[in-house]
Amino acid sequence: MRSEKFFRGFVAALRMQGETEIVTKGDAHHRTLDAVVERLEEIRRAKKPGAEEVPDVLVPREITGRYRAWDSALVTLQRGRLLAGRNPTYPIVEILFDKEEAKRLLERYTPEQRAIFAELAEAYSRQPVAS
Amino acid sequence: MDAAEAFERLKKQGIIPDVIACLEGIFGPLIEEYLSDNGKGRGAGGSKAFKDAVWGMIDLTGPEVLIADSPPLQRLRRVRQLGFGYLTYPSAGYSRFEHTLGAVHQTERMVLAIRRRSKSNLHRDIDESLSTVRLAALLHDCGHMPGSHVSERFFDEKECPQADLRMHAAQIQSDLAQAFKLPPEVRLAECLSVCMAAMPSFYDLLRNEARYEPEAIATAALAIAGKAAEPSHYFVSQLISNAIDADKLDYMFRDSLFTRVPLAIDLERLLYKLKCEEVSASDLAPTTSRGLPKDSRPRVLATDTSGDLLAYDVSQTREMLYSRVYFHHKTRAAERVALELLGRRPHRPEELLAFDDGFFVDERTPRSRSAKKLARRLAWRRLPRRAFAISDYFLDPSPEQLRVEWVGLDEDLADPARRQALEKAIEAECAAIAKLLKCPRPEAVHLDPRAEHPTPGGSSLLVSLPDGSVSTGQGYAPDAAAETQDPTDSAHVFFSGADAEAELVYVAAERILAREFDLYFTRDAADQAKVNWEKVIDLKRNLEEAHPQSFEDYGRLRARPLLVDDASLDGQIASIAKRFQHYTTVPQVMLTEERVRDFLAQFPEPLVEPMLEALEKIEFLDRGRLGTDFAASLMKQSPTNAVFVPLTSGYAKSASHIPYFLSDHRGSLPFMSLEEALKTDRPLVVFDDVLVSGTQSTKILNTWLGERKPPYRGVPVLGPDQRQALRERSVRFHFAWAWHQGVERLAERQQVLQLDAEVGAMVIDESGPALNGISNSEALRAFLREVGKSVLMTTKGQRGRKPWSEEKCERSALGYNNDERLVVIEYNTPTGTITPLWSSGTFRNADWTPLFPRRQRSGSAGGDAGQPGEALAGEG
Repeated sequence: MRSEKFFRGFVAALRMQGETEIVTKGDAHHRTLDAVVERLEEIRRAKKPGAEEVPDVLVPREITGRYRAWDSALVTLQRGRLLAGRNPTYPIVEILFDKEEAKRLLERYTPEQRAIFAELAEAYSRQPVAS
Repeated sequence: MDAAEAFERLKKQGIIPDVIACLEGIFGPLIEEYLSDNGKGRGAGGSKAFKDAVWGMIDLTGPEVLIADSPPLQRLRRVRQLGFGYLTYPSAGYSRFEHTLGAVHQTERMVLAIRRRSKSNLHRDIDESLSTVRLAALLHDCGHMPGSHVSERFFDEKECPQADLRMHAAQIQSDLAQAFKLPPEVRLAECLSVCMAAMPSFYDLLRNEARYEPEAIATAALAIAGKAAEPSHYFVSQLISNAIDADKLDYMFRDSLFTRVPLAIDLERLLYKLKCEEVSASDLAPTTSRGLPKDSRPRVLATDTSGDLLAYDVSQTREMLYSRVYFHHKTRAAERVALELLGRRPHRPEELLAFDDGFFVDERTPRSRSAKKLARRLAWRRLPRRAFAISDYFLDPSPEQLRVEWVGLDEDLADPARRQALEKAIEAECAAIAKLLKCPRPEAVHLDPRAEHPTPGGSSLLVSLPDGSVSTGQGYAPDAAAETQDPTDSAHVFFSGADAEAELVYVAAERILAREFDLYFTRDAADQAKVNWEKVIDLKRNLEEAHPQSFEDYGRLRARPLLVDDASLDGQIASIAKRFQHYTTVPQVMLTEERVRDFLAQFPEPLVEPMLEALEKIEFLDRGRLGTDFAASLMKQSPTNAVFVPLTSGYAKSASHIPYFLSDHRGSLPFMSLEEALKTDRPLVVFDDVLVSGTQSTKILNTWLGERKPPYRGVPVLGPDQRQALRERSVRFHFAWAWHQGVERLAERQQVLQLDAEVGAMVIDESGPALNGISNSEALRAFLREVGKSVLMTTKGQRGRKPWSEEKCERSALGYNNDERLVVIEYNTPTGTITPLWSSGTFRNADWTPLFPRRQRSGSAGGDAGQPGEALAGEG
């Protein structure tokens, strides 16, 4: 699965969790993603079906701890109006679609992948800084 | 991490030994030959200065000259930095060798700059790092394959048609990442540069001839991949791989000079603002600091808050270079050909390092005939041209309504197999259209997915704050602001063929995108691709003329018939609009000339004039006809003491509107309900505006007299005494306009019901089918029948608890009961009137816009309700 496709599914799962925005101020979105990475490690260790298809891009950058692919997804998903950043300071990135659209987006993935997204989104949403 | 240890680990990691062995096979003999010419074991000679077009004199030390003269570096003289960019910007043909020298030069400038502004206890380390970072700069590009980034693109998931090749390339990246403990996002060319440094013959040259220490070689190799050997040397990797690094500070200025695309970067000030900072581990990101001893003091490249803004300028400017230079559509077109060529003669990435840019254009290289053709296209710059720009900005309607559909297209464009299937579909559509129009078709269609812009968040420049602490900067915010896409950032449909075929390809692509993804685009998709919109419209008109059914599935893509906007019809259209200007049912509908033209635009060219004739033939009951003429007619035809009873009642029922119009008449008409009227002994005049088939009026009559079960909705059932009273009363049914069939039917029914009634009207239409006598009437009727059925099927056929059957829709296509009438009332249109005149719906996958939308029933969304047979105007 391409990284962009992975993050599209992940963001759709976030929307299903009730999230409507991703806080990016002060790299908050990277810190919340740390929790997702931990959960993903557990999923991988448990060898849950579909885990092997998650792209291996959730590795933080040395020094800044940023996930480049996550930042990249937040920009590229603004195409097709899935997300919208508030130029020029980008304190948050809004999720523009509703739960119904999120459901339709998730239908493009296998049930196993959807289950993983749901787990990851839940881990993300548990973080106090997520919204 | 110990650099040498990591470098040694790499040499044994996964498939890396095979890659190194392959490279050794290519370069080993060349290096041996080079060293034998140079005098093996003699070591480095003296320093050298190169005169560079961008930076002036560039000094290389003796060991650096030895490396620069070696085959891995000399090969870069024949690899252009900008790949096929020179086919767009003629002067942008400089080589990666020139850039490499420039990067070495900029490395030194950066190191000297940070030394000046760093604390003195760091000077020694910074000084000692100079030769290592220069070595890294010297080696950083030697892994570039022919055509530079186009070959890297070939191995990407989005492009590579061969899974084994793609997986092999991904494995190289993954193995390197694993060995160096990095995210697997190091570019393939950088991985190969690192592998080149690990190749025995070249490593031997670096170690034993140029006399670099193993630790320095390993540190340089790690820096190329963006990895620091240890926290105290974070700044070394940052100088080579960062948002601001020696690589970018050369190529951006070099590209700008040779393309004359100006840069807005204050380089002097940026360099002035850089420094090396020793920070506490806790100042770094939690994920980084987690692995570091708490008391460690990492050394990082930093700037201050104003320097951070200068770094933002670099992000913005780089983005502009991507849009203007790197992703220029002509360059992308050339890359498209090069990618196909790479697919014809597949090599592994490391194998491609045996070639230079001649790989793509050398006509002597043995290739298949089709591959030779592709090579000739590149050699002689016969490049594909654009025919369609695919961007979400150009979607119609707006992309907010098409998110999921857009994702479908976006994903298909990013998948080589599905993209190829789409290319074939467009080619087939081109062939079909070309056959119908007897015109040439393009040789090939190429779909180019949207280009991947640089990844934001790559910056690792820390910001030192006035209180002495260090921040990781704003991160996503400035990068994303710089890199959010611009509207011209699109995927493209290219084609190989004559320029004149652009419109054909546009039309074909438009149809396939509509068919496969249900996506439609505004004309921007053509304008952006520099396709002449007028010619597109002409082609569509010619296509429809040559083959009237060609838009059967693509109604939305039809061109507006030429005649609709022709000045010769101005008078007729103006007169029709004026005649119907007071038609009012839906507040937002104004019956203007534009609306008449838009309505006619839905018809095929040959049917525009006949439909115009039909519109002229419409009986329009306006205020004058109803308020004055009909009132006079009612007075004339009624006994002097008669009372007037509306046939229908309730909101939106026609008879409840008529008294409003009739009040225009000077003499007052006594209106009352049927029940009230029966309490009197006066003759009754039951009135309504129109009587078409008589279905509705007979239903009402049946209900009054208790003959209909269940009763017709909203109509009172009379009691036995009232029925008797009605039967004994003189009754006249009087309409403003009536069709003779309706008159006969109602007259027959009242007789059966034993009423003493007459049926009359101000105007009795004795004609047959309304379209008779109109030019080309059979074709017009057939078309209207098709439209009528389709709009009913897509509205009534899909709505409610009892959707209409196909047969029922067919039976009402030309007005309910296929009455085929042409009568319209100022406040509504009877359903007996030809259906496409009043019903909305879908026809040939396009929205059908009626000229006279019907009045909406209270609480209903559509304006065209009713049942067949309920052909009175007020029914709705």
